[in-house]
Amino acid sequence: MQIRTTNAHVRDAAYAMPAALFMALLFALPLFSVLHQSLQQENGGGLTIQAYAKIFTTPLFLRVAYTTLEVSISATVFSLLLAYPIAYFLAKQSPRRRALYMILVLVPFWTSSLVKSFSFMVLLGQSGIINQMLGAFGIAPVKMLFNRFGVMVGMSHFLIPFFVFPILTSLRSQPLELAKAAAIMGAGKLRIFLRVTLPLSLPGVMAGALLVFILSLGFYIIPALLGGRQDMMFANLVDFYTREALNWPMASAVAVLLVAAAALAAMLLSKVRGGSSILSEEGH
Amino acid sequence: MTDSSGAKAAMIEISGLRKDYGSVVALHDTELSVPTGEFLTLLGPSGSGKTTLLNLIAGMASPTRGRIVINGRDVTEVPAEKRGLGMVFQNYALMPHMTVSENIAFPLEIRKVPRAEIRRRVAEVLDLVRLPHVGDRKPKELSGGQQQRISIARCIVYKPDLILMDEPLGALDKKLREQMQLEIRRIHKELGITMLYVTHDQEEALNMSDRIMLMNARRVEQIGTPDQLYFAPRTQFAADFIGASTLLDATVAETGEPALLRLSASESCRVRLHSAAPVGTVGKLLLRPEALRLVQNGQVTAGHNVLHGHLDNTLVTGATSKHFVTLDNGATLAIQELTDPSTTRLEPGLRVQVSWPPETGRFLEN
Amino acid sequence: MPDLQPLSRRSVIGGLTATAIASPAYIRPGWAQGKRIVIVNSGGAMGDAKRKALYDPFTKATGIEIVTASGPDLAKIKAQVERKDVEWDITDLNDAWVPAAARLGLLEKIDESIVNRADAIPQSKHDYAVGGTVYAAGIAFPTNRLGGKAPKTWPEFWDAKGFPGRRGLRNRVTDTLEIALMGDGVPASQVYPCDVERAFKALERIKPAVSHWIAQTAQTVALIQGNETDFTYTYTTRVKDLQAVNVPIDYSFKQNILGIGWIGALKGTRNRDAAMRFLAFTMDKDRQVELSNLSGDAPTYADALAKVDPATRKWLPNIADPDNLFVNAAWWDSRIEELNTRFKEWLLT
Repeated sequence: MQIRTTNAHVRDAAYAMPAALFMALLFALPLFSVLHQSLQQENGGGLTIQAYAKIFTTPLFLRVAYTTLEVSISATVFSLLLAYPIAYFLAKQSPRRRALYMILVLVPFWTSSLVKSFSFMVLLGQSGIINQMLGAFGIAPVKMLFNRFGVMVGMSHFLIPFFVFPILTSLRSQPLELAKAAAIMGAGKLRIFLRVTLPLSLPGVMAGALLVFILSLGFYIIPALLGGRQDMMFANLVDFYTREALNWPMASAVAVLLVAAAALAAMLLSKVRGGSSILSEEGH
Repeated sequence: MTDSSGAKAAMIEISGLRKDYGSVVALHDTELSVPTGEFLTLLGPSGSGKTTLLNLIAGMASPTRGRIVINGRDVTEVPAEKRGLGMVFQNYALMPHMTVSENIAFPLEIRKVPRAEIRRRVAEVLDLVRLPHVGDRKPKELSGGQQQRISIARCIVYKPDLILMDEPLGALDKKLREQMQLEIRRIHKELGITMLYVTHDQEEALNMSDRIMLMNARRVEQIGTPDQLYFAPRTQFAADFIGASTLLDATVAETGEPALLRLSASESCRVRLHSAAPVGTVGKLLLRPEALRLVQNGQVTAGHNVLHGHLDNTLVTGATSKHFVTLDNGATLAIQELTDPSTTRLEPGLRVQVSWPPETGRFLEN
Repeated sequence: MPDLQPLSRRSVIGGLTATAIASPAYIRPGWAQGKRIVIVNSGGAMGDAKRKALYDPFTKATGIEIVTASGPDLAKIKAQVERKDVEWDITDLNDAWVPAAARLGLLEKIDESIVNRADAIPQSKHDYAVGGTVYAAGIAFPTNRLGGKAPKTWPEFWDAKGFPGRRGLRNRVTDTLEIALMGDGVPASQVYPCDVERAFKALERIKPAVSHWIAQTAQTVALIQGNETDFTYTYTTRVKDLQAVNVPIDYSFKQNILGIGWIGALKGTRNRDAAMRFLAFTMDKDRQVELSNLSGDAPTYADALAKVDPATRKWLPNIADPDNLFVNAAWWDSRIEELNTRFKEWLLT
């Protein structure tokens, strides 16, 4: 390793300046502004933590916070179960096929939440396609919408692409010889997957899980459209306080807590990943 | 396992093996018989078909035609994981997320060996490859040579009938490579497992093999012992690929023992023909550098062939020296001899004579 | 069918001159040439209707250009007013925003000398905003199932035994509280001030029959259409649009909740007089009739109803009907936060 001179360090810092300024302006500044807003009194005046006090002492918030965590974790797991096979399949395709399938994976981004809710009604509703098919076999309609299942379906529809990409990258970075070597040693396909492919793909899974979890925390429209009355999300309160109650300190406080939750999740996960660096950089 | 004649039975029997990818032939019809315990090297340049052949034997590709029999069992249709082979890769293919011990234990776990037995055999095999204390480390903490030895250990721990090696030393530097060649040879002698080794390095092949199967353009060029391939190559490709060589244009002028070859308008030499080539056959004369002598003071041994030319250059590399000579007929050749400080350093441009006995030259038809 | 004359310059000038005689001398049509005002509205079909019925005719009559912006937002308005850098001159407002905006000092007091709204219904008058349209919400029901038996009033809606079927209410407390009281038998004139305890008891009664607490307006009719629920609380325009494409859904005009479409001028607007004149323009009866024809909302003059197209009039609420309930935003202004919290908590249990 070369010894860096002070000049080199200063030069590197100078190169990073534009990006850092950009981040500071567009991200840190508004965040600080929201934080500041959350510490205002409701009718103007000095700093106070009354907004936070209200949140932590009102049962509604605590329940909704719990539901939000529950839903976010479930959505992450649900999306993982659907995204992993997709990524696995994509990893095995030729580059051209993979590019085509990738477009299909991205299709959910081109639909709005409201449109999604209507389409899911057609598919999963009481009189939807699936229930009609079940009815043809004499099976009673299954409630797949406007309950937690509906929320899972709606959220994962949006979240799966975010999961697919990191897992796919992780899978594709595995040297092909590992699976070959395991096969020659006598390992069947299932064992190769469980002992080799899956453990080595965990960095990608972790990265995807963090991203998806954080995104889930902020969801409220899809759960409102496709969930039941018990599926109330924290961000719904931001919406209420901003647009209906016009109580911006409260809205900001709720938002700050969401950001804090996301930051906490990121920190926890980075500890897990840091502890077990899996793929080596060397390999000669 | 021996057959009725008492000779060792073959570990590998391949007949009529061929692989096509669509209209492209990856391997032309191939026959091969490898006795148990042999160290056979598949040698050849890139694209010669050696890796294809290895993959077919390993079960990672299916042949278009032909049969593969390993240890008396027809495995042509058998998938790779059921062939009971071992394989060592150029990039070691050690599982990065497992420790060295776990890596070695993996094939034993697959075979449902009891845990205590696994521990014992892992320790045993680590001793065999002379890395007894690295069990708890991860592969990336080891050097390239060490990783390759672990890779080999992982193979031998479950005692396969046959170990395949796909250019295993390609990623190592020269010194390490030589050490590893000796190491692999030692392990082979100790365990007596049949080994099939793929490389493009002819020196490596000569060093390590019981036999060499030289491949070119997706077919077998010649199979033989290292000596056979070095001293008695049957084709110009074989002569050129293995060892250093000089190939001079030659035409059969007279047959007999020894025969007479015309090298140019004014020069000819005597050589022992190993085939029934008639007069007029055109080909090349193979001369190995160490078989030639630079004659000084006109002292040509009786019965030896002589050619005239001038010295271009001499390279003295410690114990040996190489002289580069341009003959009067325009061709160039190299002469290698042990360095003698008093006689080796000569003036470029000096008129010289090159001599060799008739037995050491070899005629190869075109 | 009443003959709707396009507004002629003469008639407008005539009208304005008449106003000018009674108002300060500097308000003359010619004075406004080259000026422009910025109006922010919610776009969509209503935005188009307003452009045709209000904005373009206003420009034609006064020469004042109208530029529209999209997305009224109290937070943005607050920011502009506080910075004293007011970019928007006029803004649309909903019922809930008017008392809040007035309280926060975000609106100009309506200049009664310019804006003539004497005959408009009292519910459409606020010191700081004018109400130009009335929209209605009530019960929607399917016509192709349940034997055509559907509740048409709120007590019927609350009668799950007499009118079996799945109910859909909104997942917010506003409107829902009022509906609950009416469902419990309270007449419209006595709904405000709301007996909150009674309302929540009534909600508790109907809760088992409610299959959906609906998040977005579009779902209120889509759920009926998709047979996910049977009776919902929705707006006239939603049902009207679906009936137009032969969807088997219908609407009850009994006991409707009426809301006002408000417009106000931002405090500190640089074009105060032009803004006031625009507000006056929106309170012109004929303008309101044309807007009604195009938008499907009612005018705020009770006697203007008769002038609206019969086809449109079918879908207008009767703003004079005492059984219809005008939303009382002032009552909500100080209570919405606490009641919404209570409501959401109640939803979760």
